Amino acid sequence: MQTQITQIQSRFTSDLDQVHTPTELDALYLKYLGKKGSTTQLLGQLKELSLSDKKIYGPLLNQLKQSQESQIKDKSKLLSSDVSHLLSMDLTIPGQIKPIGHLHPTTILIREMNDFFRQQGYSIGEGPEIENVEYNFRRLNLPEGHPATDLQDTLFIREGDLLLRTHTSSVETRILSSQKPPLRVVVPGKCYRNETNSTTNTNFFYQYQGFVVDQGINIQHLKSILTEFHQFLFGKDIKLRFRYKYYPEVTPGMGVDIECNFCHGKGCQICKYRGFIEVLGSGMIHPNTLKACGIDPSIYTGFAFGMGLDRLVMTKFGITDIRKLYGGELIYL
Amino acid sequence: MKIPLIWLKDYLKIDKTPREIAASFTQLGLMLDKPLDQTGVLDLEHRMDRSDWLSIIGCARDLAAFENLPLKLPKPTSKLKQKTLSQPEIAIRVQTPHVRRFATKVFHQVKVGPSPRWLTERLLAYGIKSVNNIVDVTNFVMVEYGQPLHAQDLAKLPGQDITIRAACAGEKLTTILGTDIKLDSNVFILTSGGLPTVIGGIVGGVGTSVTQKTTDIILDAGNYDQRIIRQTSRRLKIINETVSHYDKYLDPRLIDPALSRATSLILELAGGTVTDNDDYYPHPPKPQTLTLHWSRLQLLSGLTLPKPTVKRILRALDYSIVEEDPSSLVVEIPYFRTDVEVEDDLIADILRINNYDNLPALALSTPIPPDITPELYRFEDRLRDLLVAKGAHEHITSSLTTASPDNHAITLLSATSSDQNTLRSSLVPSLQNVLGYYAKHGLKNIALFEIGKVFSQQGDKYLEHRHLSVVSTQKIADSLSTLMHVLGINYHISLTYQIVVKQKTVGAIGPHFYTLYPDLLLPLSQAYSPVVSEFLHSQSRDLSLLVPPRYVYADILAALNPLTLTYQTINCKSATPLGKVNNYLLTFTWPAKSNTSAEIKQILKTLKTALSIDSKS
Repeated sequence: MQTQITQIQSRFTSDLDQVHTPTELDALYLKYLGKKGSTTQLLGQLKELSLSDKKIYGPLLNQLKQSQESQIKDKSKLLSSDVSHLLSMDLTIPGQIKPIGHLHPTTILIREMNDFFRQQGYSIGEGPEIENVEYNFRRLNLPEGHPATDLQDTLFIREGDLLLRTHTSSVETRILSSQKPPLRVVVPGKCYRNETNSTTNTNFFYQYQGFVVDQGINIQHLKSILTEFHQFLFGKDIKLRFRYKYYPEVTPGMGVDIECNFCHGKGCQICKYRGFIEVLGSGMIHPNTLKACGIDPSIYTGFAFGMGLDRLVMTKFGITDIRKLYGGELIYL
Repeated sequence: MKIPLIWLKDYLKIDKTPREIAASFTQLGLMLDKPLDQTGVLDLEHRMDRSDWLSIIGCARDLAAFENLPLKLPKPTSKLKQKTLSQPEIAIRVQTPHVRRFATKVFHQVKVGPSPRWLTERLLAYGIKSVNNIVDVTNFVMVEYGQPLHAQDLAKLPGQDITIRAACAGEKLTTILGTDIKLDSNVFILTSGGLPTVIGGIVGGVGTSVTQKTTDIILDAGNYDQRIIRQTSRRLKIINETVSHYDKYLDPRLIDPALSRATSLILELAGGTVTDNDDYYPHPPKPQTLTLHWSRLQLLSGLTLPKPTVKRILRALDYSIVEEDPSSLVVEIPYFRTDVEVEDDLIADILRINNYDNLPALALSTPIPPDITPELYRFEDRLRDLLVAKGAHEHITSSLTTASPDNHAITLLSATSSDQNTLRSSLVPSLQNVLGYYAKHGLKNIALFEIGKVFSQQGDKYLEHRHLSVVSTQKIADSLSTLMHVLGINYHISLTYQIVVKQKTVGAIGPHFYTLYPDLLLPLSQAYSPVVSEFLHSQSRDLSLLVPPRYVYADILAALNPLTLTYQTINCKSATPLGKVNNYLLTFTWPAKSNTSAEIKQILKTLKTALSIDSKS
């Protein structure tokens, strides 16, 4: 009897290993635990044994039956459940990618920049997108008839009066007009221009503006924050070029370029053979702007800077068509 | 601005390579715009402020100052033999306010012919084709000094006058390029004998142009209101070299050196004699001065520049120092610097010529000002995070849409395309477009959201509001419930599908979208998502209601509202049609140890009577 038990046990184990489908498992059940199954038959022989043998083999046979039943049950579970059960055992198989929610690339970049400036003690400012000529042009030292205020570049809502803001500088004049210095503020925001949509331009775009007004602010402070900011954006090794550039709302004005990372300053198609790529405009806030906003330029000085975000977002995320960035054709997972 | 190096080197001796010269110009504010090539011409980006940077001399002057080299200008021509008649040969009359100056000279017995090589090669390098010696001289001086000049054939002048006046409707002019232009009263023109000969400051007519046969000419140099030139040229769609100068602010004094230079070149190259003619110049500008305080220079630059260096820079840029004391300098602004208005502009010039590369970087050391970030900004970022955590994708779509029948919609006055001329009044349509785009590509079960502004007009008020909109092909109510739960806000949906919190509408819901107004939500929300620090073994009871279809969930809530009950939450797990009624499966939850049986009885009774609802508990 002992030998038979051992034989059935080992045959069962090897048979079970061969089972890959529920049908095969049913057959296995019948083979061992069915009416004519080997285990059942062995159990049937039990009554023919002596009382002392019954006491030895009874529990052993019962154990065998129970163990086979539970093994079949386990196997059945394994077979009926999907493959993931198997997969969870094989840790070398890569998992399936499940979709998650995404922030818009522009939001991601704005957050990164905000983080940087928050650490430097800047607040985040906001303002209206429907703006009037006063805040969008006049207080920025752009008098009537200035070429930058041309009708063909601006989306007007009411002639000579209301428009869609053409830059985030309008938020600068609003904050300077309503808050007292000292001020350190950055303004990310949507701006508008009268342009036909193309792969590189849309009639709205994102700008990132920053300004500081306090006593004793000079152009060296501007150079310092812009150096750190560009190192934060492009890495410590980035080569910068600071040059004079005219902007009506600042004097002295300053343009900032980064060395082209495709040609390393030699000049290529990407940088239009300049060796550098223009990234930002800045300067010391024009005394006329401060005055127009009710701030005495003989007591307070300040700097301002502004940059377009879209080109930067597109570069960082490898997007070649701006219409995809804002037209909703971003392919997320 | 194109700078042929061969021409530039007429005014300063510089032995740098073209690349190095371009680098210097870039530092000065004239960035290299086009790639350097073998032609020896620098193409520099020009900003609209500096009209003198549209002249080779203007650029050379700045470069000479930057490189600390002497500037060599054309010699003045004071020794010219010039006749002055008691009566001008051609009478000049100006009948428009847009003319600041109109100076003329008359030449007789000139020999029109080809120009010498030095002249044609400079013009050609700049990009102007040689016509004849007279026209070439006017073009040369325009590029050299930045002052446009115009020569007309005296014999072809219809009258004995040049009258500048507004054009009359119906008048026409054929330009030197052969284009017919219809004139109107917004355009001012030069006429002679009553006939139009030139569109003022924009383009000359073919009728009086100088040709091989010309022997007598009248040369003029005008100074006009740049804003009018800008408007008129854009309207007539004429952009040429003359316009690109005249649409900037030029000083009328620029006419003096330019006219004298042109006169001596004409006499040199074409011979003949010159007579002074009329010079309409009603208000010659007075020299302007500015005071530079050393303390201001130090304040803005953070530098203590040596006084001799500063004075050297100012003089090299043609400022003249008229007064000096220990604390300041008074300087006269050179007439051609129409961009210089305030003391800080002088400082800009000084720092520019001193090279921005030489400015140190100094970290801010002033105390950090108080934080003025709007609370809403942070709140919206929190909303973004919560929605992303729920698997929604953020999108940013255009604020401009196609014309809307909504009479509160704001239409733009000027827009390039008619499908982009109205400000959006909802974020939902454009998000649904995107959803449709995704569906087309087999991406389903996607939720999208946008946080942005929408616009509307109420009477003469133009309003903008911040919206959050979520669109999804899935059951939208789950997203809203989850979001509101995490914000700790209890809400209900009204019969008109408004999202209501404490009797206040904070948004709206539709079959596949909902919109929330973040500014109204902010004061209602809890700063932190609710956290339960211990397990509360709350009791819950299910209730299955068979409701006639004329009622909705909001009616159930409305019926229960007046009761004083202690249940914490009520949750509608499902609503399915069952025969002629709808089966609502509700779950009520009470705190531990509540008398749930009594309350559920009360609820049942109320609902049965109030809404004639059949129920089974």
